[in-house]
Amino acid sequence: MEEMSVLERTYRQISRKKTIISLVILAVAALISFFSIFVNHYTGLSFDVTWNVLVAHLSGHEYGVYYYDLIVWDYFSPRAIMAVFVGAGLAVGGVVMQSMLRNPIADPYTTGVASGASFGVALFFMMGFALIPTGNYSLDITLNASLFALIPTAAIVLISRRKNMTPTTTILAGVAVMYVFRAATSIMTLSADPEAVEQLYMWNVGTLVDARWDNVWIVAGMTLGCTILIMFLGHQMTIMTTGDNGAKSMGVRTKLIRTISLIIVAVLTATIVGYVGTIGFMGLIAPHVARILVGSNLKYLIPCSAATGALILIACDCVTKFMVSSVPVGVITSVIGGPMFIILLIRGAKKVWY
Amino acid sequence: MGDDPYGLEKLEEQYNRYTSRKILLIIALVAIIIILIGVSLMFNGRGLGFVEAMSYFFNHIIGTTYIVGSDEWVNDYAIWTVYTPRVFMAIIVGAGLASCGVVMQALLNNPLADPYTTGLSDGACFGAVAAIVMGFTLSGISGSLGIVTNAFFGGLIPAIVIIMLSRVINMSPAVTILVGVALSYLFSGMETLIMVSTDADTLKNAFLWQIGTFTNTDWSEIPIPLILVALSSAIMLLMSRKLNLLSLGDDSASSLGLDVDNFRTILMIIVAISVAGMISFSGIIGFVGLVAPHVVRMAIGGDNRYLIPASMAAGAAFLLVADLLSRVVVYPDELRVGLIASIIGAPVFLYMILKKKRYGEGY
Repeated sequence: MEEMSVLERTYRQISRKKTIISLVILAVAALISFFSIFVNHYTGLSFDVTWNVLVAHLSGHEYGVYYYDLIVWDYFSPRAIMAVFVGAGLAVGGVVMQSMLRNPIADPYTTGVASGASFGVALFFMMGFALIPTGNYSLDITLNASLFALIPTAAIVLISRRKNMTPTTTILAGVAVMYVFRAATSIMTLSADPEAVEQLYMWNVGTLVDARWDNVWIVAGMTLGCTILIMFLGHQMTIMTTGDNGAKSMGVRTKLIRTISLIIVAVLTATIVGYVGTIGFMGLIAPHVARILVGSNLKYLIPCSAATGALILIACDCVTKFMVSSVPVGVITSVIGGPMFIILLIRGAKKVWY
Repeated sequence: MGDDPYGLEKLEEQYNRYTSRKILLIIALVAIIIILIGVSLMFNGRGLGFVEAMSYFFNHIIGTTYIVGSDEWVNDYAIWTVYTPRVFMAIIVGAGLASCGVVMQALLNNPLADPYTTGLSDGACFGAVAAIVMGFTLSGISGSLGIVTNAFFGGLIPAIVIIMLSRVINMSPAVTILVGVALSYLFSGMETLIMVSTDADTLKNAFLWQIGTFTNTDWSEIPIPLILVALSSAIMLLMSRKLNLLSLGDDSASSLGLDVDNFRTILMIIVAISVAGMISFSGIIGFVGLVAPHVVRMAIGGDNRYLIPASMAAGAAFLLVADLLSRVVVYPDELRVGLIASIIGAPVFLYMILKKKRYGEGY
């Protein structure tokens, strides 16, 4: 009995440590997020002015200079929140994909979400085609991106419902669908005018500058909702990482869980992509960093990844705001995140994957 | 029963039957390639049919010459100088990418691995884009040769980094592949940095470089890819038995006497040089290197001794068809072969995935 209670105590301690790690990361992310409102190299607003604008707005007053208020409250504040939720959402998508497809290089876009979205946006830029014409330029792009993003996933889900599909075949089917959409997009680019190609290219890189109060709530709500839904599946998904046969014998309905989780991730990713474009790499590395920190139990891994993702993206967005010329945040995540990720991998590699 | 108490003869017979099926597939694919060469040369803008085109082709090989300026001379010129190089290039690149794909999938033990997994394609794109947008070349040569050398060395950088890292620390296949992905993002990020600062026309040019094509291939471009692919494939074939051991996992392979780390390093160097050599001339051609190995593996199983040659033949045949279609579909214009490869290849691949039961459980 004595032995058991020691074991139990140790387990509790470790669990608490993992929870604390996630909370700390989240707190740091929130801090940086707040700090990022004050970072605005290219508008030249000083710290005090920004602070005064915020205080004035929150206490219901009007700040004297109209466009200061606009910049601080309507542009930078939603952008700071957007970065946190986009980072968290993509990271959760990455965790689920990596666990469900049992492949360390799966990311939220593995089932072709990015290629579908890119195709939809290309249709808009190059052919002027809007799936649901609303007359609003940016809303048309968002709808095109989000709705076309769901097509590849729908195909994959239909395929993976069939008998005898393994994670490998699901992944390969996703890659095949991705190639079709990518080729279709490229065919349009061949004859498109260079301006449209440039627009599409910029959209593909992904940026947070279009965050506004009216779209940030949608992304935040989707991220929170989907993350909670995924958390409910966390226990079964953890069992499934040991292999489908083992999970089945423990009573997990593997196919159902896989399908549901793929759909949740696809809807979440499609929403995010619609508003910020395809910010890459984030969704791949955040889960790995979190895995190094808290291990592979999805009960801890999902929240920790979400926090890590939020931290990475808001930090990268801060860096882009420091820069003189405007650089899309996707570039920063790749250029800075890439080498840092490699260093992390090298130091923490052995124990994490296999 | 008396002669063969353990059923060994029967087993051997069965084994031979399996083997001969695999060899037959390879022979059939090679025959298809030869026919496809002829079909491909039929679209020569001179109105020559299959037989005529093939006879010009073989006559040139045996050294027949024609009077300069005569009809035959023009035909010979069209067949041999204009169209044959691109056909050869399609075969070389198709075969090379397919064999590299097989080897990468085996080395990294991951079905998503392809010849570009170590970040090669993004490194090469970065090099090429640096040449196209900024006019910066490593070799100091400007123009298209500068782009080629930039793409070649750019492609090698991430591969060299990975290989050096894997010497310093003990990287598992999963970590290797993740480092590769990180490097490819790093390079595509830097490429984007260059791209966003340029004007729309240059951006489109740079964008188009990335979609591979065999248009305007001439004989001077053939030797380097040919030599690289021939050498690398020969080495891969010689090592295919050892490659089979890797499918048991690193531990079992080393307990069977394979020096896993060195083996992996050597093969990755070979793949890197070979792929960089190919794509610096043709641009990035996706899909073949990933899919040809899978399709062939579905047909004949995972034994690398047969998988490598059969994938090479399948890859070559596939790119020949894609190149042919890219010339025919919107004749006299051309589409890019990389696009056609995806568009016709992906549905076929999807169909095969759906047909094949329980594929890929080994991963």
